[in-house]
Amino acid sequence: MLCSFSSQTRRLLLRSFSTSRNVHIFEQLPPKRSGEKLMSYVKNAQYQRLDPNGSKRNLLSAENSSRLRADDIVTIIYKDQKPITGQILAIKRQGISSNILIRNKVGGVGVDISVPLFHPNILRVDIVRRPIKYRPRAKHYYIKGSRLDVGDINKTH
Amino acid sequence: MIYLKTMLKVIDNSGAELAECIKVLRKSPKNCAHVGDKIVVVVQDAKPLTSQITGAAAANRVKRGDICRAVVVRTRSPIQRPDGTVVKFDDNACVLVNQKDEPIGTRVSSVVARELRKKSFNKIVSLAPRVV
Amino acid sequence: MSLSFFGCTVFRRMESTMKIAGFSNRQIISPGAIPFINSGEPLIQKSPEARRMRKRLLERPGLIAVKRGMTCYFDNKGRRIPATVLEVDQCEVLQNKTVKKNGYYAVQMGAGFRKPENETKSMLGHYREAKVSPKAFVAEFEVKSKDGLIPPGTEIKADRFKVGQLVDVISHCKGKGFAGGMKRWGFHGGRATHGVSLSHRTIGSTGQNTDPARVFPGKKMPGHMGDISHTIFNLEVLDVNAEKGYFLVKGCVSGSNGSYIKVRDALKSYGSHIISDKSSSGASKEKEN
Repeated sequence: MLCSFSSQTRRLLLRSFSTSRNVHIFEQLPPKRSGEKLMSYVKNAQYQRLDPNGSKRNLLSAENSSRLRADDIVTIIYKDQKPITGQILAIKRQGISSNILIRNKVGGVGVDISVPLFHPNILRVDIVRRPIKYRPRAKHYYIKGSRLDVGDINKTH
Repeated sequence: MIYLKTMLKVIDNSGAELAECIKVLRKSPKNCAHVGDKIVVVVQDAKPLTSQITGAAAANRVKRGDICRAVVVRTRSPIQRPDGTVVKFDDNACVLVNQKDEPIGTRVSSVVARELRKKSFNKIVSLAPRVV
Repeated sequence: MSLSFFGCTVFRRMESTMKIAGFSNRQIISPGAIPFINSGEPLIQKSPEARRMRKRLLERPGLIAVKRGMTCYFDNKGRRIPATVLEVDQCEVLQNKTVKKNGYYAVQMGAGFRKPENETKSMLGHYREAKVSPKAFVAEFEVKSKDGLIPPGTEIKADRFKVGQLVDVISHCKGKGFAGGMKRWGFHGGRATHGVSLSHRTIGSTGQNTDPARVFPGKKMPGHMGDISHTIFNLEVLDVNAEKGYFLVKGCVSGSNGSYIKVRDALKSYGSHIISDKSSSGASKEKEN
């Protein structure tokens, strides 16, 4: 088993309290990550590892005007499997575990696939088509089984 | 989540169109079947027998009221894969099989889930036009 | 003189002390006699010492971490695994407990920082002894022998744990307040309809009638739920970064974010009993220390 100990020389602080005589108190250890909060550090470190050029982050970023939106038709290109195509129903923004829900009709059967966008096997996400006018709401669950439902996207494109 | 009384589409050319689950095989009574699990079904709706069909397909034809074994190939309930992808189909579907787990029909008409390959139903996967 | 008794030959005790010709001044010892063995002091089963012998213990102490939140981790096989981020913040050894002084071996640690104004003077003296800053949380880890002890003032880092090993996580779970039987114990409750009134979520019967004429101890009933210490066994360590002071474990950990938790090597995998060790008479050896 690995383990590491560090021996450091500490500055002894002399503190005086109003009600008592001086008390010897040792100083804290130097802060790690130069004081950055751990969760934000971990998040950035994960982004650096899984999305070094920031292209996937850009797809989700609210500042980006050409970001992914519900109603877009996208193709997800994988490293190790065939690409999948579908219309975006919803986007869940959760840092590194963000995922997009896409819907397609395959041979007349509707298929919903939720894809973790930052998975290392996903090379990129191509936007195939954007609608002229976006439907209302950020989540398009309501189109399922209605006349607004998606068609067989593979056939039309 | 396929259990007693679930109605499933039958997507092969065995003649059955709709089947009702009456038993989930080799699971505890409280468990339900997912993609790749074997079940026992009753054929509730079948195509009428016609004289045009000949050969092996005719011999394997099933009728309404027949009790068969089947493999679940699509479920409405989400399937989570190890890579974090979640797949959800719009219907529950099955393919009829015999005692040796070979499909009764000779064709599979629509999409099936990839999980079947892991459970070594390779014949069904190769017959299917699309695998998701 | 001998008696044949169930096929065995039994010598009478008297006979062994009798003088026989040719063996003068020598005693004949019974072949079945057991020589006297000094078995030492008996171990009282209820003593703390005996309790320590019965316990499964670890070779080395764990550490104190802070739960910071959850994220996901993509491993080399392309799997996405839920993970909890645990921070190792200012975790230092305060004191060692020994068999001679305390009756057991343990390492006392502290983590975090507490303002000296908010700390008692006795504890400030305790921290000064170890030459460490005042700690927000203090806990101890019992170890098997004195080999597991660590000198006070040593900083414990996250690389104490190796990627792939299993750990136990001990924390205080979230309090749920006064909860009914359905929430607290998973009871099914009563019926929603069919003439049921005012007892849709009750626990129902609590036992028999006249015969015990009491409710047995341990009956599951409504009461305070949560806010108790909870151990989750055998969580896998996914990632370790000692320099930045954190590590990830697979799955979830009880308690709210920011709460201090104890993490140790998995007891069920790496722990063992003192008695079962090959070094014989472990108890008497311990006394010498």
